[in-house]
Amino acid sequence: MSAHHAHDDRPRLRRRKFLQATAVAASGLLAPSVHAVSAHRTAQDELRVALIGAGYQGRILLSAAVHIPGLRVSAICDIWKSSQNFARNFLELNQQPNVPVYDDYRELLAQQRDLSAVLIATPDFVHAEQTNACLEAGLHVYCEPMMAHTLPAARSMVDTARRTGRLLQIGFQRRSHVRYRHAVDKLLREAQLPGRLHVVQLQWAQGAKALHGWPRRADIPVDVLRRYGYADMTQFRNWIWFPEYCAGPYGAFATQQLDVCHWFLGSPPQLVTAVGDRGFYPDRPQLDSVFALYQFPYQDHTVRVSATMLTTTGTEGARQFERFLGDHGSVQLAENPRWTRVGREPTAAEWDEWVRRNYVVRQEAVAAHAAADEQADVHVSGELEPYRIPIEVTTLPCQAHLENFVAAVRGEAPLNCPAEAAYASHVTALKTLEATQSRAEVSLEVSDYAV
Amino acid sequence: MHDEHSELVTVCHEAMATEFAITFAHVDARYARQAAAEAFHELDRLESRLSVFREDSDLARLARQPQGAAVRVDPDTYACLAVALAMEHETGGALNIAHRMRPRCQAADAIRLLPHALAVEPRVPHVALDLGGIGKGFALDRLAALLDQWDLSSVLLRASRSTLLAGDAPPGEAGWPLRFGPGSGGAKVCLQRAALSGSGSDVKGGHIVDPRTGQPATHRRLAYALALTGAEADALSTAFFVLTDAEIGDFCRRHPGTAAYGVDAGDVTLRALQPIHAQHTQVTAS
Repeated sequence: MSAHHAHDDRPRLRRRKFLQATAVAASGLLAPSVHAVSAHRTAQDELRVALIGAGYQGRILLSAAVHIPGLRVSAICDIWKSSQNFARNFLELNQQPNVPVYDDYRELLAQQRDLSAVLIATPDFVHAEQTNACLEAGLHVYCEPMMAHTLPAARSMVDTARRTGRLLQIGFQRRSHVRYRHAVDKLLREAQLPGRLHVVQLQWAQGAKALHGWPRRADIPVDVLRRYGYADMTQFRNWIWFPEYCAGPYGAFATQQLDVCHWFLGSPPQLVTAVGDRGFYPDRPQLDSVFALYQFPYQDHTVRVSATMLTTTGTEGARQFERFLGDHGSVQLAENPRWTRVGREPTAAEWDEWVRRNYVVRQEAVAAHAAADEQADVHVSGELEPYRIPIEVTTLPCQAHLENFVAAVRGEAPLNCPAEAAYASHVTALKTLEATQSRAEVSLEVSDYAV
Repeated sequence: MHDEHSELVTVCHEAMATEFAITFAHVDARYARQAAAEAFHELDRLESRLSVFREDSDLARLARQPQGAAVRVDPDTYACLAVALAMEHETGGALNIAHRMRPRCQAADAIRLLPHALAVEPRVPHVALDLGGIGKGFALDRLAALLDQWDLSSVLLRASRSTLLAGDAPPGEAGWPLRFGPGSGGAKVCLQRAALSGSGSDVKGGHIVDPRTGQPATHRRLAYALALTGAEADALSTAFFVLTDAEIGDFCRRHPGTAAYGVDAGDVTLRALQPIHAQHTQVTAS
């Protein structure tokens, strides 16, 4: 099988042709001053990577990759022509024409001899096979989570990375997210704003969605699907709902939040109990809702962690956050800044020092609220004093994590989420799913996390 | 504007602070809904790039850039800005996505597009762009392109009640029958492969400011534009609201496929400012 070129399928572009042509005229077609957007690196410094898997998540990685100076996506691999076309056209629009496209990652590895690394965004069940092959080929790997839906497969990835000496970054992007890093390093660890931490609440809720379809003309022949391990197009497009390919929505979503817990708390849980069901989608094999409770040892006490992965009926309830609650305050983190909140208990000491250091900023509304408080009824309980985190995200989703990977490959920084670190949350997530089946408390030993 | 067709599949989605809807003239409702889900997924992605309310959007990133420091943007953001600058140029500044900036300036003076880098360079400090006059129509074009890939070309796409993009006519029909204009004294249009958009103080209240003068445009109550794409129609309805009849006539004569209708201030009757001559689009009195 050889690399081939995908067709340009941007049928509506011609409609805008005259307008775009005049736009060029209007903007003057002046010699571009690209100093701020081009790499300050020589061609020899250019890091060439391939993208394996150009579906939803792969496209997010692709969008981020073209913003990173010195990084070049020089090959695409996907078994679906539709995804190949998208990625190829996207790169062409980004001044990278004629990028070779492959169906099979093995052919990619055989043909593309100029690669330093690969970005893997395929369904979970092929992560271990593809990651291990790429590491063995001498490439560094950025792999989207979950690493794998079985622990032996995930462990094999860690082992191969160690043996080959290649880097393996797992795409838990919160570990590179500037607001999360600020919150974990400054608010939780240094300032300890929540005080004595008692509870962590993790919530991943999403609105109900129909199964993904696909354009009829984009059908993959059944023999091709079978060759790559898929039963049919429905399962190929909706693999998250079928246990052959992954650990379901809990594995896909909650693992990312459990990783935040592992990252901050620093040690794995000792106990998990969980219930889950398929009440929302009885016709889908994977659990659509899971409620789990964990006990994490932390400092000299135990922190209770609840994790809920919900399918809900509307957008109002559909939100994701990690909330840290203590006796002095709370820190709620979310990728969406609207759901990022910090609050000080009225009985806690003032946070003036942390405001002075610009770790947090008092909300504007507080001043008016405080004035009103002077006349407040003494019987009314005090309210949390709201603060915000003065950190703005200026990069695209996944970009910071990918930048960290690139810096690590260049030897300029350590990985923010090496496979060894990511493995722990996989153990916790998969043991949680075991607990939903056994309907019993599951004890977790330190040895379960050995890797 | 009202969709007068019946027995069709319509799927709605909230984005860009309004309701988008796709109506399919297609027998397989399940297939149509799956296509709509993909289209709306793309719509959400577009919003994340174009919105000024998202901290990591292209426009928010551009707003933080110092003068002269170009920022790379998504191909769709670039395309939308290119259309906006072209429309600003073609309408003599009646459409201006930099209309909120002070001191007043044209968008073409505020930013420069760098096609070879797919980037935008601020030419002045504190660039603040607003794609409200074109973004929804642009999004409709992108959704239609995506639905084309699903071989769903007989569609009617709507953003709010103000911008419509018609694809191929429903089977057996001459086009998508729509009504526009004031409650009485409006007109009917049979639309296919064309877009219709309206602007007016009736809908949002208050005044629409003429970006060329900074003064409220007081001569028009409603303005409607017909064009080949959603982005053009969306942009032109905004521009036509502030342009004079003579300026509109001049524009439409220079741009085949565009047409204009309007209601003057203090009036209730729709009149043709520049009637449509497209082969598949007919406008009749309501």
